[in-house]
Amino acid sequence: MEEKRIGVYVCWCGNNIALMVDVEAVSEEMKKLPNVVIAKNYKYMCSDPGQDLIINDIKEHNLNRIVVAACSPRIHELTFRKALENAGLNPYMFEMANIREQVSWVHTNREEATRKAKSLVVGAINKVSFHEPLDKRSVDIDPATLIIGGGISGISAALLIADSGNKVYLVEKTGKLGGHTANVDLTFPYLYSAQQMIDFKIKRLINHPNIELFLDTQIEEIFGYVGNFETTLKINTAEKVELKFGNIIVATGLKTFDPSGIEEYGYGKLPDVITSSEFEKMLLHGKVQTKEGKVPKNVVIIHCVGSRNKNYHEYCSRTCCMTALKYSNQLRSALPHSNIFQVYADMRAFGKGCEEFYTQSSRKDIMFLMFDQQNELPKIREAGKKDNCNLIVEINEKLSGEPIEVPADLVILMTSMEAHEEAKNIAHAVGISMCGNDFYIEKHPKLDPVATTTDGVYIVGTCQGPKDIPDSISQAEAAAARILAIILQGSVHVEVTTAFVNEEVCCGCQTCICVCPYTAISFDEEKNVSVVNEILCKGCGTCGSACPTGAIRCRHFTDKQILSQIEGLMSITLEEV
Amino acid sequence: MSNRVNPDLKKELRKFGEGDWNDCFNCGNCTAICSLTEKDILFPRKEIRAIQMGLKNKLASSVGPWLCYYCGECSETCPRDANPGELMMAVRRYLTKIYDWTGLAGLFYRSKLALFIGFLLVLIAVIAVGYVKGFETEALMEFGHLFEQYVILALFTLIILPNIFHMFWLTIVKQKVKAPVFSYITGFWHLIWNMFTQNRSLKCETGSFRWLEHFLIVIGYLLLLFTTVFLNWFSTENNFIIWLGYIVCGLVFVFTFDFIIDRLRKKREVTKFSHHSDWLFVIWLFLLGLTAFIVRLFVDTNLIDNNLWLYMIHLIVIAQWGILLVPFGKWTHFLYRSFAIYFANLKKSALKREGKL
Amino acid sequence: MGENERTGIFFCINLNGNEDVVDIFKIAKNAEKKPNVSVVWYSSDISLSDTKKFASEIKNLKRLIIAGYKTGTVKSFLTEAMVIAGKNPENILMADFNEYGANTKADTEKAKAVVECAILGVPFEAASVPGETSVCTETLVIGGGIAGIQASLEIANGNQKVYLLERTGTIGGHMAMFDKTFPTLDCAACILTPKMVEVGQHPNIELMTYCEVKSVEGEPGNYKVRILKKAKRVDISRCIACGICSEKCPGKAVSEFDAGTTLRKAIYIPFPQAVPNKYLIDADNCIYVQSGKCGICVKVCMVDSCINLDEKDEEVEITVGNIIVATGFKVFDAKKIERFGYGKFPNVITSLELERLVNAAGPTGGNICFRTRDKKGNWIFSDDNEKPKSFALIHCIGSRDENYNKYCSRVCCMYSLKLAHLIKEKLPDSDVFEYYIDMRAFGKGYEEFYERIKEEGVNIIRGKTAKIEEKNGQLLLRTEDVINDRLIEQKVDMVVLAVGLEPREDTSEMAEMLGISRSDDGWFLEANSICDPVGTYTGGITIAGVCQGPKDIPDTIAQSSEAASHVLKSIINGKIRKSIKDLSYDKIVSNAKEFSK
Repeated sequence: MEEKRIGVYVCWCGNNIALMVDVEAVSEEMKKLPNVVIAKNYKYMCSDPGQDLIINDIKEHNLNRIVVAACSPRIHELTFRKALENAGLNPYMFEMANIREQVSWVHTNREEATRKAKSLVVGAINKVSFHEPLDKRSVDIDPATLIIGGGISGISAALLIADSGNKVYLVEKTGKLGGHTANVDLTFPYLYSAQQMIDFKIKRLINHPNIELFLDTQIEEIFGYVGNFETTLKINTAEKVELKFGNIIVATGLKTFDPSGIEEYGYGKLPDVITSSEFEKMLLHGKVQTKEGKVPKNVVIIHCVGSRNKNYHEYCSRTCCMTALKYSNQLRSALPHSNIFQVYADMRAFGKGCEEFYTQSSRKDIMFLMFDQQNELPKIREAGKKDNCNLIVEINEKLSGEPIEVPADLVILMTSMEAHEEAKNIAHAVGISMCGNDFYIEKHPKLDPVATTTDGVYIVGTCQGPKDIPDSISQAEAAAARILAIILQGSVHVEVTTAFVNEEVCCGCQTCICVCPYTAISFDEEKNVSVVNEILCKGCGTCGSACPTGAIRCRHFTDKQILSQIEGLMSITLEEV
Repeated sequence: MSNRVNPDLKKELRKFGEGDWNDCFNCGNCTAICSLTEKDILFPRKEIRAIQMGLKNKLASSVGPWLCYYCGECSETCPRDANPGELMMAVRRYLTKIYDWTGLAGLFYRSKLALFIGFLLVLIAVIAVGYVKGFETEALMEFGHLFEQYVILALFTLIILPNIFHMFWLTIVKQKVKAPVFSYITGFWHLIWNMFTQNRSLKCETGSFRWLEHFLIVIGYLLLLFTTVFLNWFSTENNFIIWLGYIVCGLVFVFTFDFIIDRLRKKREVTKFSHHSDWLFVIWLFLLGLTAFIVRLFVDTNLIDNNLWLYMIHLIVIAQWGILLVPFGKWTHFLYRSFAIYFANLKKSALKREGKL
Repeated sequence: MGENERTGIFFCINLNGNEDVVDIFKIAKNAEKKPNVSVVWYSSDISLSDTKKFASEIKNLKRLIIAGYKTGTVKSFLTEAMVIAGKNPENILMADFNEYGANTKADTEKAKAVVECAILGVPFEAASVPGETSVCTETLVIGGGIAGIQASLEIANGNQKVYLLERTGTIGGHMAMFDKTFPTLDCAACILTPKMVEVGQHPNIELMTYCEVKSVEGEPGNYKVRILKKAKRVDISRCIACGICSEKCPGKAVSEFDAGTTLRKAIYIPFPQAVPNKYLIDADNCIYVQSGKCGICVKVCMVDSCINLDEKDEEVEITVGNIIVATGFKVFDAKKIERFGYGKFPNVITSLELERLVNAAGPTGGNICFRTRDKKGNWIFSDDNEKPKSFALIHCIGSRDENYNKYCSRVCCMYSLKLAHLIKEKLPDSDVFEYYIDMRAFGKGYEEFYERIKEEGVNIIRGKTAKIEEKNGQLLLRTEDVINDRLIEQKVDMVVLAVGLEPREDTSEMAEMLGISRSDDGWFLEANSICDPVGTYTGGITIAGVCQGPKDIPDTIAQSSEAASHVLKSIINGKIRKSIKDLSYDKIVSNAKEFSK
């Protein structure tokens, strides 16, 4: 076996480390360790001169393993791996000890901090001794994209990708494109036509040479990994088509909440209590009227139906406030003499132009009444003969502190958005996860709202959480950007620190398959062992810790590597700080 | 039994002044910025809210609007430009209408035509009286003097007292406010003191000069009333009374002139919008002072006999003022404001008694 | 559309007192002459309260076009009328001038084209397609905040060259200043710095910090951009960021990164994780630059010819095919509202200042402490004093206010809840009061976060604080608790003003340079608020992030990627669309005729 020649470099990070850690002492101490050929300290290891130092030493002293004690590997591991590569060394023959975030920034006793730094560096030296060279791997990308869902999000993503000259397969479960947007009359806050907007997009989509459309189609399981997926589509529950594609956009959209479960509102029992989607249809068809066909004199719009209430959904559905204001405007236009009441909790007019829309809408003689959406839902009852209206809504009004009665001929319930009932099946098919309320989980809620933990699978629009049309389109096109970039690259690098199975030890218990968050492990029935798909595997190590026999292990984090690192850490006694 | 909302109330209120009840989104800035709001008596948001929702009874029972002296700070800082100050002005006009059992106050606030007809009728009546009296100076002046006395008596007994009692009924009795008896008595001195000084307005940040001007007009006006009606200023020979009359007349028309200029300039929040009742109030008060001043001047220079028209004008002004503007116009604010403080103190005592304060 | 499709046009003349609008009457006269058009109405002549009457007027029509301003406000009236007249309401077509950017008198020709397209029954989007031209594959991203970073990475990851231009010495923008992010309470630096490092190391990104755009010439696909490279006076290829120069530098200035809560040196690094991680000299506060004497930094610097105090600004020109504008925002200046006493009372602070204060790397090491005067009379946060025990957070400072900015700044409710949490976390025994108008917790996980903060014991009160006074060394706030019907006079030790977001001062200059427009509220105007929030009427120029309107980080990220998708699309196609704003009436109409065939 090749002789281990380790180089150790301790960074000052200006004063960031050097003030709290005696970097000189650390590097001196490391020189005493076996296999350490060279140990140095330097002001800024990450700077070009710092990296040059490593590169020159590798060449001059024939080093084959490097340890850098500096900041967090999140910041500079990549920098130093590149330096190793430049020096002709395998980048994985490297280990970083974090003596800034984990030492100098969090301790106040220089002596103890120095000792702790030493122990971390010894640990890193021990671990790097057992490192093995790993080879970078990449997979080619099939430029075609599968989009699941033919609503506004799916359509927008499809058009953008197809306009860029790439093949798109658009799968829609129903026979009609446009999703919920196709049932909307006007958009907020400027009251532009939603119909014309979506119609044009659908027309373009249908005639697009790069888009292949599958209506009335169901997705069965999808196999493969980023760049190389394949599936079988079931059209009209009979015909089957096999497809291959490189990326997937999930745009399965929403379902509206069914308010029949809210006793107070009497939906389903009182005929003139309707949902927002039923009202939207009335607007589209120009027939705003009660069940008896009369023109309603008093229209009450109740917000947060099924939203912001722990009994139904705790989350806010984000669009209902503005939709309700839009209804006020349309009601004022359709029924100029009507009395309009908005029963709201907080007016969430946050988008561009929305606060202004709220101000303008309020000027149209609309009565705004505030209720407690959490604890005191309004009660709707049938009106008496003398009341001169169909229904009475009883509200404990918050801004006046008065219990009041509101006359109503028509009550519109602003129902919340829910995850689609088939969300679970789709999640299973494409290998993504859902959060508690059944919306899909993004890779990072702040910085990566459209990607998922499965490479090559993106979630856009309301299947990720309630949102309005522009925000859905933004997400759809954001996912398209990611896919176009990958297509331009032609291939993607995949993780190399993956799990691997020692087939002789594997007992076939399949525990690893249950715990794997990336569905990267499958079972070989013939051999009765687990098999890792090394492209799906992210090297998280979950399987390794769950495996009862120690058959499945992760590259770069083998037992030998980790135990020797711990040994190194323990080699220097530390006092409790 | 809960209240039924009424979307039409705000439409009705719109006839009483400028501003849009719709603009308010109930942030409470106006209530909190006001130097006159106290922990137990909140305005103007509560009143605006009552109007938005059409809670007429709640509005009628409220004394808040009378406690506002319209410094304009709420309007300047309102995040929605809802102009709460001016809205309170309209509420005060509306409340005047509610208190007034004759219904004329409401009519005159809403309809300029009705007011014009009223003014015209009074004018014709005065000319008719002149005709009956043969346009003779002495007889007319004697009539004028008597007329003033009877009008004052009639106004108090028939209009003002019943209206104030109505206000008391709406704000205290109907609301079942149970204030201890002694608070009725102790509060009374407050009432008189407030009525003459209007010293609460000093708390506003409009400056003490405005208050002083207002104070001098009130004092001038009351003294003018006293000298003309009870000391018979126009006919007296007493030099002290003559001079006193000149001074108080001067006070009235000089300062009301400044008020008119102020309204024309529209620089302050208060004067940005002027309702016709505001104009009539300051202009007629100005005319009252001015014509009285000139009449006495003509008497002193013995020119009055040949210039009876002048006295006729004064009499017309007085009659229009006394019959129309005092009982049904802005003049009553002076009383309602003072009584509102009195009633507010009763409410506070009642709350204290119940241990809620 | 067939010749016999009798069409009526309803013109909405909703001018709102604005005089600079398109000449509707001219357009109407032109439209009347068209063969299909049998009748024209003006909204000013029609009683909009009588549907039946209007229904009788449209009995003989097949189609109805609503043209003009705010067409949506009459749509439902006309739909009802169509139904009463027994017509299919689907035959109503909307031709809204604002929707297609025909806002001012100068846009009359465009508005005419909008109406003409409607008469032809062709969607305006289909007709207003400018011709294509070849595109230079390099892209300029203006602004190095999270929006610019995201957009640059998306494009660079597609193997395309990006110039990322940043005005200050580091990328990171406002996000780098934040302590934690709502609602997950991730540390902002922890999630941002890896992205910044990625930008710094990306082979396809050329980072141009401390640079400004001087001029933009050329046309879509081929823009010549002159860039002012302000003299850093430090050679960043040599600087090893040891920091000794800064340590010895006698010149001081207010730290922008710490939101003015502390001082930095004239030679400085904006913050320890800055990218590029190199020092630079702030000439305005450098003693050598200002007076010619000093030069201490040169003497102490251990790298040869790294600092050059006499370096001059220079200009470079680059050619790019696409430009993404991601210039971000500035926070509202709380001094403008005198009654809150910001700038007068030391312990009335802004939310951005509190972000720095609670940050472990901030001026007080993460301790929340009083602001006092030091010996020189400067206001400083000093750690030696006792800690504030009560706090008030006031929402909507400068936002949702007709006197300042009418719009909602979209992030303040959530960041205030987050700050309340951070205060409670640092000082668990403190009392925290929050005063709001409407709690806008709309995003994924936001409402749940709001509930959590309520449970943590933060007093959340509906009511806008009206004024702040100083009383016995404490701050006295006057607020109406609207829901509980009482007036609150609350004494607290520290007040945090939740300042809103505003367009940067140079927004109009930038808009003019790039040939793009601004909406009424001052932010850059998007091509279509519904389906193209990142495009502009100028080809090859897209807008992303807060410069288009306030938004939070996930929405900014999505929008930035969206902008990048437009750029990548043009690069893949090798072609880019020219400017919509340059399209002539004739061109649009001929396109429409082509389309209708």
